Amino acid sequence: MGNRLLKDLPVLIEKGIITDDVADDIREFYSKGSIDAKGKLQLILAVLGALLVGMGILLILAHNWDSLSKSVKSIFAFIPLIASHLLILYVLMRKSNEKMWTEAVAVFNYTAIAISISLISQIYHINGSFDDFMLLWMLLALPIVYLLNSSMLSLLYIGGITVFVANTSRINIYSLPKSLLFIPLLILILPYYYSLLKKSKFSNFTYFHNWFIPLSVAFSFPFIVQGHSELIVLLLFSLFAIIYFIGKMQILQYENLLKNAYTIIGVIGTIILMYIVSFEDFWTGLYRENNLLSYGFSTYFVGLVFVIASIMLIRRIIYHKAVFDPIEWVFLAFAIFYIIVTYVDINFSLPLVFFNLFILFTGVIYILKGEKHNDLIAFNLGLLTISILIIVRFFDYDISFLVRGLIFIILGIAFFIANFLLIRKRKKIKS
Amino acid sequence: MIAESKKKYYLTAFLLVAFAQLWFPASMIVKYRRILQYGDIAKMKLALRDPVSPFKGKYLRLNFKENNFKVKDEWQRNEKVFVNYHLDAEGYLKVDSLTKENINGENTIKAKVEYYNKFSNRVVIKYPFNKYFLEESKALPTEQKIRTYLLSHKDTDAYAEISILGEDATIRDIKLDSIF
Repeated sequence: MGNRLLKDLPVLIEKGIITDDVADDIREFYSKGSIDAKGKLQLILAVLGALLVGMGILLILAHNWDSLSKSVKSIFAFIPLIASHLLILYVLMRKSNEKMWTEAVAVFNYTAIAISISLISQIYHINGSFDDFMLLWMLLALPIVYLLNSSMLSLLYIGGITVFVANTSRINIYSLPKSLLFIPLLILILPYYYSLLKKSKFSNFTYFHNWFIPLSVAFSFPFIVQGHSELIVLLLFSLFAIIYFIGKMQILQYENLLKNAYTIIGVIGTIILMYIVSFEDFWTGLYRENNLLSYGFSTYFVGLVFVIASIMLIRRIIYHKAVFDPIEWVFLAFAIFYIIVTYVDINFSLPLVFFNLFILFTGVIYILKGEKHNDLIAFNLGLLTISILIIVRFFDYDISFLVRGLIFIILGIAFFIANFLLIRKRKKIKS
Repeated sequence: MIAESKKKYYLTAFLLVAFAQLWFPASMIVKYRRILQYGDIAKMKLALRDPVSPFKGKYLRLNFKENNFKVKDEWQRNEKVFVNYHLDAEGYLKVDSLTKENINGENTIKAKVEYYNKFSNRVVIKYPFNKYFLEESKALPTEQKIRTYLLSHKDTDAYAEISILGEDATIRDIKLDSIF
């Protein structure tokens, strides 16, 4: 695209669409851009190279392992780590402005820490727990993210703390779970993420962070209240609402909706949860007349997440006076029904009818929104939401194959017609 | 790009980080070398609990005969447990009691609860030394020999040699003379 624009520049100047200065600026922008593209490839190769060298060293050592004495083995365990330290020192002194170098040595150091700890565990037959190993590894690797300004390492760190939280074990429901450590571990990386958003909002690494952080949070938080599956649904409803609200922040706005990971994760997560609670089995499975407070810490934790979501909702109502957005309100509706069903003996069909209607309503809102703003993504999301609802309900209840088949055909045709109409409308507006 | 004036702060910070990265693995070595060097030696008889896969990957998962104990109080899975023991005339470790705190000060090993059976009131102990790493090529033949032997001999004098220092313990060696 850049090349074509560059070719057209003389024509554009000639016709008076842009000035000479603007043309120069555009040329300069693209000349930098092409260097970036080359740099990107080198960067990827450097990171891959560092990973391969790290693993290669491990394999060579493993091959001759048995013939070495404990002391020699111990020394070998330190070689990759010390090598990575020397490289970091070199990079800090000479190459601190070369992204390729900083990323590569950071990744090398990351693997070297794991190599040295696991080799020593093996040499001395130490049977440590996997979560402790992950925790130590991540804490030792973290400072390098800031020292070398390494985005790749930051992503590996986020992945690592997610693996850590998934492997924590819990002794009993009365003590604080070890998985709670996920929150301070996440907070430790947030300053780096913030600086990425500030300095290079449009880089690939930042996009990856936009995906990694909400996904890691949505995946990890259920482990903090492990064992209480009903609470987890309330937790996730509140969490996806928070993620959705965060997606509205100015700093995370991108031209293209598909680049705003928070909005996508918030919407899709919330809609999936709505489908889950639209099944009768979910409500009959709830423990009735159970005191929520008996879950101890887990209840307070989920309560806190819920309160944060509520505060964000209130803020949004007060300061933005935005049009009604169903995604922002579902967590509240679910919480109300959840508490009512737990404490009061009501008919389950009440929440069931409510959530089925609410999904329908959400779909309609998205279709209208898409139609109004000519937004094909919102429009199709609305259609999809309603279609899945219909499909799910038709599998849920006993309906003949013929009717089911007809419903699918009608849904398919509706999709075609609706999209056709919207695209025609778009073309009309353009012309 | 790091400004020249800030470089020395970065370097100092890095030296601290590098020190920490080296210190943790090094302290592991020091701790276990000390246990091996100065620790008391105890023997623990090996038992067969899962004849199908005594090996997982490249290590030998060790099962000990002295791995469970009848208790009066309630325990939780993964809870920390102090194993109070004495050595019999032949040097084999015998469990005397399980406590939640280290009350003896000596003759105690820190371990974890693998499993607590409410009905039989038995705690299965997860010792911190239940893995023995072997080189890849040796793992499989060793596994097969041990399995064949243990399947045909209920009682065995195959044992593991443990080194105990303070409340920490580690494995020195496994003695499989009766098998090989």
